Amino acid sequence: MTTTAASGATTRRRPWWRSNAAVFAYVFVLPYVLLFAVFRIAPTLYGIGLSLADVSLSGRVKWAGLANFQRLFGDSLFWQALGVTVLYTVIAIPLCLAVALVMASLVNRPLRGISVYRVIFFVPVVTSSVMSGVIFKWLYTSDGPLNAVLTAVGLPPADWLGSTSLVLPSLAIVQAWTRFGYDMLILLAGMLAIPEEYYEAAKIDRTTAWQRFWHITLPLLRPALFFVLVLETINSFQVFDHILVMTAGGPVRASYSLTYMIYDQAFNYSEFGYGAAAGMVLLVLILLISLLQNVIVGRRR
Amino acid sequence: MDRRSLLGGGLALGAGGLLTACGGGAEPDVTNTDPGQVSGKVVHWTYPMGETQQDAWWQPLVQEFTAKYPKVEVQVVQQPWTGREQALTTAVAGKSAPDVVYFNPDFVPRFVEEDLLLSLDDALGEDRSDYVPTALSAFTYQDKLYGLPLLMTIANPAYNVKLLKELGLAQAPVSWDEIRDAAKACVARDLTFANYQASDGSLNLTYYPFLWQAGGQVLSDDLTKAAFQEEPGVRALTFLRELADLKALNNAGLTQPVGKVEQTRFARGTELMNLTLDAPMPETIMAKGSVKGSQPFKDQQQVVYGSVGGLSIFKMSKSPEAAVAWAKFVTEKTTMQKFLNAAGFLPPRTSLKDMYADNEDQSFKLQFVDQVKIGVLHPKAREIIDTVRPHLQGCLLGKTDPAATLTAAAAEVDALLAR
Repeated sequence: MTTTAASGATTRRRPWWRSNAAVFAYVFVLPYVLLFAVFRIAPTLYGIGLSLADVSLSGRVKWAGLANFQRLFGDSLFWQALGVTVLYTVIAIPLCLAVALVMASLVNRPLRGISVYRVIFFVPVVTSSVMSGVIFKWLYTSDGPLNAVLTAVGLPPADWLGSTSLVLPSLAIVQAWTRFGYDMLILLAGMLAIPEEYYEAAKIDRTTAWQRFWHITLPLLRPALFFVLVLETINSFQVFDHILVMTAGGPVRASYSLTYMIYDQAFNYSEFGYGAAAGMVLLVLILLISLLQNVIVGRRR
Repeated sequence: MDRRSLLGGGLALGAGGLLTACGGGAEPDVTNTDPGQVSGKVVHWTYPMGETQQDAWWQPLVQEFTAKYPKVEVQVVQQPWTGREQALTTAVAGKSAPDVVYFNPDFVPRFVEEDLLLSLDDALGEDRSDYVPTALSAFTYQDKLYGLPLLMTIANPAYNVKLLKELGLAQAPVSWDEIRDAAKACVARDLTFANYQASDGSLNLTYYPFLWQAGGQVLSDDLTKAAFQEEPGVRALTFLRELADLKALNNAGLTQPVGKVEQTRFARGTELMNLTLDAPMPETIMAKGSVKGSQPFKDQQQVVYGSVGGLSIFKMSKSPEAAVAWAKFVTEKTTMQKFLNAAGFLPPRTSLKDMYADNEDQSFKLQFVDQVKIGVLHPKAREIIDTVRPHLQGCLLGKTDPAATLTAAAAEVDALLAR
């Protein structure tokens, strides 16, 4: 019998991160790590570098230290963009969550063919945001279908994208439409994990459907809700495609979000360093809010 | 954390180092026209202008050129108008900029400040005398020429012939009082007078002409401070605000970005005038003869905005002599005439000034070449427009009054210019 050579089995043990199993793991993880490093980590580091420099269009790089940030915090346009972004987030997130919760509850039943609906509701997520932006822009025109419905019911037509007070809710509706399918599936998975016994026990106690929802479903959905909340926060803070296609930051800068400002500064004025500085502020902001949400919502029992 | 910040710093420095351009070499000899020596590849970015937006239109020209310069390969690339600045910025930053590009004068100062354009005084040489002085000065910055003029546009107003007759007006309005009367007549019949593109239109085509007509100017003479907030500017904005309050200006144009020209009210025949029509409306959208050009508006002065289009050459071109040869070929008399006929624009060469003798609309426009204002030639001209525009939009939507609007905008522009 061949002796399995005691290659380090009894003499010196290899550290776990050099074991065979670990090497296998590295090989499997390597492609994604490479892609992640090249397309996520490297640009972030490059962005940090850009924000500390003064870069011109022709490629000249000058060290600027914190000058970009000083200019940023003194720029009223930055604060306005930040305000618009925060306001948009405050409108979009509850809307999206509410729609996703409602749809998840509706779709959470063992009917035959229910999976068809689950797939259909996911389609907006995979639709190109530029395309959905163009279509919604058409829907929102003053003589478009939406206003036709309003006038048919007897209500006055609304200036969806042209009014400074209506433009952010209109954009929030588009975001809710785009994202609810994704959140719905996550919440659905959370709902399906809730044991049936709880509901049966509640039904025996003759509770209403709303009471069951409020006292059983919501508390047990907490981890899923937290996850969806963080995702949606990140998404709302980074809203750009729809604004670019539908309103170009208007009217009167009412939809001039922080990401739009970054794009504007970098591509229209070639102020790459300044745009990157705004990007860094956005990054820190999203990080802080996610940490805050972790403390409040993600708390374990 | 220590290692990571080191790595971050190192990467940033490395990236910065990569970014640094190699610096300018010696200036190429742009007067070299020897076909035996001029060689290389020339990429030309052009934009949709009439028939020339078809690749096929350029083929015979490219063939004619390569017959003369067999060692040069020319590639004409069509680019869209929308986002042209961003596309150009991206290309330059990504080191894939074209060799020859169609430019308007307000691009020139910005790109010259970044040391990206080749000066073309020597290349033009004696041909200079054939050009209209306005055309050459439009492309001159700090006493050097940075573009070979190819076309001129005059953005005078145009009106819908049928609607004018329906409204019972003898002729299109010229003075501001006539505009007020025409606007009221339009509103009474449920039409709009004109479209004022407040959200994304260039101020050259919207506010500036009215400012100039009132006798004002955008910047002070030394170009260091804003001057539009003075009395003529307030007068012009008050006038526009009057039209907006009368509901004579199309609401969609005041609030939202422009759509395709086919979807505008003017194209659909429910609007009397187009404030600045610098290119002929395609006949597929409005039948020939249904739109006529009218006199520029007049208040204290009769002023019209016009632009010059020309070909500029990037310094980092790998074959600058070939690029210059191609640019000169496109702008020489016979080729230019073909281009202008296909694109529908006006000639910057005095030797071509009779080319439209039998075309009523174009010869009408040619009269105003001397009253034309090219706009503000300053590296931050576009930034000034982007800074002032939302303020004007807010005023026209009724949120602020004209004097306060302009003072606030002027403060921002002064800060911008001081930077």
